[in-house]
Amino acid sequence: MKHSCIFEILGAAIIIWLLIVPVSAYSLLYFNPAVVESNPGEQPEIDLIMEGCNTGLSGYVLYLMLDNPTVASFGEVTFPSWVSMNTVEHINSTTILIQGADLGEQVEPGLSIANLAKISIHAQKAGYATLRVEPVIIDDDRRGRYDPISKTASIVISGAGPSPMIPTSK
Amino acid sequence: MKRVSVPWIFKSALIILLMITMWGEGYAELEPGTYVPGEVIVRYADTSSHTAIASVASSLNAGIGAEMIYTDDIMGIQGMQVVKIPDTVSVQEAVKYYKANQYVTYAEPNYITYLPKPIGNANDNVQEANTDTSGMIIPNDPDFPLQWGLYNSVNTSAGRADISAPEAWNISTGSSDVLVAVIDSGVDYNHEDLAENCVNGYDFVNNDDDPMDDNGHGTHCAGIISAVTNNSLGISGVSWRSKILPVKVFDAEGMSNTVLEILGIRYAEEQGAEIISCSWGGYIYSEALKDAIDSSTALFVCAAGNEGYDTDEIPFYPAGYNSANIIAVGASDANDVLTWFSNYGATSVDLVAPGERIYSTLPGGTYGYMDGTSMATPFVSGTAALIKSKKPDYNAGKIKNLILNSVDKIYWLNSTCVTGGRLNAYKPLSLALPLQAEFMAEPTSGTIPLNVQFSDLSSGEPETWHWTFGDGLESTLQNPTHLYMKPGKYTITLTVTKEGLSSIAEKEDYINVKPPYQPVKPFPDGKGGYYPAPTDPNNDGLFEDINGNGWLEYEDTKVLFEQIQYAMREEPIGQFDFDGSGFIGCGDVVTLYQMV
Repeated sequence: MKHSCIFEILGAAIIIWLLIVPVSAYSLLYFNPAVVESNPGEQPEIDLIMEGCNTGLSGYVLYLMLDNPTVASFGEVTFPSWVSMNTVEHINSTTILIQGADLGEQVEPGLSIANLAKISIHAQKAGYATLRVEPVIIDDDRRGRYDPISKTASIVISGAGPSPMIPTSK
Repeated sequence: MKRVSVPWIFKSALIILLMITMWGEGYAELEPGTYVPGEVIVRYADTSSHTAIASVASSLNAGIGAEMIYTDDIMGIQGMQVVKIPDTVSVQEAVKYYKANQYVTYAEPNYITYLPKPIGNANDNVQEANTDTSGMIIPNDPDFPLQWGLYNSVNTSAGRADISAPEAWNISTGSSDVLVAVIDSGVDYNHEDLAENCVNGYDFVNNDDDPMDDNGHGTHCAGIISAVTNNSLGISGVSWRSKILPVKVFDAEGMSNTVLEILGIRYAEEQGAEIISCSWGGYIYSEALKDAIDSSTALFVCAAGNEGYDTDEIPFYPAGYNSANIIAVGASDANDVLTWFSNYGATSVDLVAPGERIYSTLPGGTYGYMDGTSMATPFVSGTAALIKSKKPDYNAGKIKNLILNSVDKIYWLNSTCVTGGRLNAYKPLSLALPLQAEFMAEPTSGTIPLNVQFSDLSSGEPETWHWTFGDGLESTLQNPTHLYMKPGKYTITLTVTKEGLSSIAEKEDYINVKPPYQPVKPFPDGKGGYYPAPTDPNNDGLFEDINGNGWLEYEDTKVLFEQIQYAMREEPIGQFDFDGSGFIGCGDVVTLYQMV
């Protein structure tokens, strides 16, 4: 009898805890594609995407890092149209700082996925490199700040060299 | 805005024609069909002696063989007579003859006036019922949803495009003590939706006491002013209970003349009408008609005309007379845009009112649509009747000022009329009420936490108070205090009520709550140096001028964006927290951009 009473209290406490603890806002930064295969001399492009920006986006400040600059280095960074104010700063050979702001309020609350930037990679020579993103701030449209989980991308540069151009025969 | 463009050559020709007609000096023939053949209106100078005038008039009439038709007693204006001239003398010669006499102030033909032709026929357009009708009285007349001019479920960017009649009816639905004369083609006084509000009138066309409408125009106007309302029949009138005095001066073809119009005005005055609705007019200036209006104490509500002209250049009368007791009315559509046909004038048209696709009563117990400034005019006449019901002692000038000072201003109507707005029936009534909300606060500016004492200064002894403090919190105390914890500018509203009446006072950005002051640092300029220290140009405690050049501009947004990490690291949050988030971030960049 005494045990069943304790279980009832515990059960009630769990239900109350489930009701009062808010579901944590889940947000994720990732690259698409997550694995890039390329040949030396090529410039593959990777999209940086944020998932779970449910309360809109007012802007962001992010570091992008490539851990093996002899294999792959940063090329041009371009931004989608909603990023109406942006900057790219090359910190050193492995790190760049990118910033964007949504002055036109285009990424409004309710849109769960947003493309933040498109990164071009210079494939230098055969080998492996990892592309990482480290957010400084990512702010929403409701006076809040995201704390996303970040995923890396793997860059695989093969040793075969560029595929040969085969002329078409007439 | 689309408007009918009048070719310059046509305008010039019209102006020249009007000038010749008005001056009547005999250099050109009067346009046949613009005046009644054989009739001349003569006004003698005020000699303060009736006998002297009679003597001069008698002598002048004999000299040309003219016969007096109407004496100044009948016309109601001292020294004004209407004469019938012999067939051997032209009207033009007679006008010249009379004007040559030193005792004659003016002589003019008896000009013909036509009712505006209906512009077009619209189809039924039933509006969807709007569920949010709080603070409104919605009558049970089945065709009320067709009357967008009274209540329009469509909103423009400037708000609801109607005259706010349901709100006005909260204050007054009119009074049977107010008599509105409809000087027009008569009224179907047997119409199921008019009969109860019609009094006996007069037919000056046929000179009898049966002012039955044989045209349709007058019945349509009368329904807009004062159809019997909330009777589960047909339509609603602007004023539910005002009495309509039918004065028929236009015939079945829609034709009248200056003499009939003056006789109609005089009759309406004698019957006690203090509001006279004139949904007609013409482009010829009649001194006699102006004298008749100027000598009246009634309020004349007059149509601006349907030709799409700028009446500052091509005047339309009587709307265009410079008389203190005339309101000139243009026509707007269901989107608060000037209709394509409406005349307009930044100095000659006072305001606009609904005048397109207007549903109202028609002869034979029927209903239908009409377009025109003729339809816009009775909306104003009805509103004047509502004001008169609440304020019987208000004269024409006071009612006119009240209506013109309380239009719904719409910026795209700025150049089309004096007030730059569309009629609102509720606002002038609320202004005429003794209940007026007003308040003050002390202090109105300071740093957080800011405790503000609000004081009710309303007149009319309100019974309830409802305050909103701009930060989402409210109070129903008469004199509340409120503690502000976040920086910002707050708009305050106070709504007071008494016996079903209400009045609202609003003060925008009235309370200025600043963050506690902390010194700010200059921002890096990105070239190894620093800008001047940021400043607070509008003294609201926020340092919007990031680059320190003294004013807010786009460059400030750019500097804050580029140096956001510096700001987060080095600057005090309060001075740069533009979005009120409690931290410096991208939201502040966006908010600053919006401030620019």
